[in-house]
Amino acid sequence: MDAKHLLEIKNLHIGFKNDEGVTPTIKDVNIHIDEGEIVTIVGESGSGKSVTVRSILKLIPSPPAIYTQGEILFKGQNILDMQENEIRALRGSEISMVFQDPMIALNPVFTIGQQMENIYLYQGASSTHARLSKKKSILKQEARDRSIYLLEKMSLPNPENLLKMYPFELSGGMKQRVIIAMALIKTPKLLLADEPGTSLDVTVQASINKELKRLVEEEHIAMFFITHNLGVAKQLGKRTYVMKLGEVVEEGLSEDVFLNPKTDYTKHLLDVLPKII
Amino acid sequence: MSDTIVEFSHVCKYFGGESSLFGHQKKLVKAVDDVSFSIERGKTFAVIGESGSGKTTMARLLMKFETITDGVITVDGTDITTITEKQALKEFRKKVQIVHQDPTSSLNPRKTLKEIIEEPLIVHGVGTKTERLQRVKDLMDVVQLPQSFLERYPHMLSGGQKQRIGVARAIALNSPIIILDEPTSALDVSVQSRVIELLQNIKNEYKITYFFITHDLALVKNFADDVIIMQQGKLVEQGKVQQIFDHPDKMYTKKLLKAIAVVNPEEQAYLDRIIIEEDAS
Ligand SMILES: Nc1ncnc2c1ncn2[C@@H]1O[C@H](COP(=O)(O)OP(=O)(O)OP(=O)(O)O)[C@@H](O)[C@H]1O
Ligand SMILES: Nc1ncnc2c1ncn2[C@@H]1O[C@H](COP(=O)(O)OP(=O)(O)OP(=O)(O)O)[C@@H](O)[C@H]1O
Ligand SMILES: [Mg+2]
Ligand SMILES: [Mg+2]
Repeated sequence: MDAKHLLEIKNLHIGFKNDEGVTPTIKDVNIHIDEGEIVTIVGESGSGKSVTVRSILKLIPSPPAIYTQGEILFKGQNILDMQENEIRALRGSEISMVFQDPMIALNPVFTIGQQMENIYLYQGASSTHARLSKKKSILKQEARDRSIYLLEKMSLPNPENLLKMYPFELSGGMKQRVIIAMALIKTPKLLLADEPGTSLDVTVQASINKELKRLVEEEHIAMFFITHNLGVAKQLGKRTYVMKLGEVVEEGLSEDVFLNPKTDYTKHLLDVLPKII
Repeated sequence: MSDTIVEFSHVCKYFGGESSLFGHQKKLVKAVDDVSFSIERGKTFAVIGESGSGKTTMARLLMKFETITDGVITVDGTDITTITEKQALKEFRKKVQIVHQDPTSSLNPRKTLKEIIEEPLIVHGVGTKTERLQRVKDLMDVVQLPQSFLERYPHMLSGGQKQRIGVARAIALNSPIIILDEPTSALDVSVQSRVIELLQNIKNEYKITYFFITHDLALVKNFADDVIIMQQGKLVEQGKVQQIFDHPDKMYTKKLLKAIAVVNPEEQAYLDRIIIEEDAS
């Protein structure tokens, strides 16, 4: 059955090196996701959500991070054994990501259109340009069409015009939508979303989450979605993992985890949540 | 009868708009635009609104850290713009204290917790050295932190512990009005719930009035008595919290309610019901 999973993290242990030795941070984590599935990861600050998800693309430099034990299997292949160039080939094409802060992901000196085209043409080893012997002008047209399609899907008005704009001309909510569109331009198999939009207005954040969910479902893209907000987790993910101090303490269908929690920790998190009735 | 402690009457605060030396006009920002409301003594008054809607500017006006462009703010019946004499101003500052959003950047990293909490007492010449130390220790008890922490520095505390220090400092002078500018948005839910509980206990015990700025409507429901909803410097809607939840009137308020991500089906049904009801009308 294992081979069925798109991504499987098995017995993962990660430590951080410091003066006194190695601090164990991720402890025996087992997480998986299937094709087209949306899975949420919740847990309090410092519980290891970001480290776990970033380890999937080996985004945490080693050292200080030490992958002490375990495997991260993507389509059956262990990412932890891969060479840097193999991992680079996955990034942005097969696996892409969106992070919390919308500013770092955008380059201030290029237009949105240039940046999207650039990703479409050149990112990943199996980049569209390398894989297909198409003419560059045709590829550019494809990049443009796909960009406009995605920007429209993210409810951005007048996408043609937006392609000509620079990041500083956009509001926070627009930037976040653009970043999501960029992450999806190569139709990755897996999207890693680490609290996107938490810096935005709540009404904006709510609509972005809705659009993101609809879009990945339509394109059959699997997504890990990290959040502090249990309500958001329940709305988005079919399944949920609850993390505490570097361990997964509960997992299951989101309905079950949030309506019939099994562990005291999850119960506690739900108890302290402000209720509106 | 109601006992008003703070009143905003047609308050405006504009930034920019003046011409510079070279004749360029700086863009006029109407940070607060014709806002009127009153706050009852001993209540928690919540201010909700998107980023840039003028919430912090209102708090700064209330503390007299900004000059008002137009309108009147009264505290205990006194128009605060008339308070100019040095001693009166000092007395006024004692009345209104603030707990900031980010506990890390609002505490001086080079001072011990004792020095941080004692500072407002020194500034306002409260008590002798021994009395102040006793007060600081009592405050540590109120915010449920061990007195052994007093010689520590802020970086040695967790986010929730730092925010408790912010609260201790804000209540040190027995101020009747405390501004809470998103006091828990940097905290985890379980830490948040403990800080909120603490604030609630303090309020009940000392009859403080809170001016509570937040993005979180669910928190408002649990913690506040009255609420105003701000958008782009304008007051969109105001009322009792329960009334706003049951019968939101304005589109923006409905959107805010709709954006609350709840866990329980009953809560979801409650939200759905409101929206459908309102949409039909
Ligand atoms: N580069 C690093 N060096 C040392 N320790 C680190 C490093 N990055 C993360 N950690 C530690 O790993 C633990 C897990 O951090 P992580 O960022 O995964 O938490 P998180 O669950 O994402 O929290 P948050 O909700 O605050 O984002 C924390 O104790 C953190 O201090
Ligand atoms: N000193 C200033 N000079 C110029 N403009 C200012 C100044 N202070 C605030 N503003 C502007 O006034 C408006 C209201 O800002 P304010 O800080 O009150 O918003 P807020 O509701 O507290 O937002 P947030 O939720 O992001 O804290 C914004 O457009 C802001 O840029
Ligand atoms: Mg994180
Ligand atoms: Mg503010």
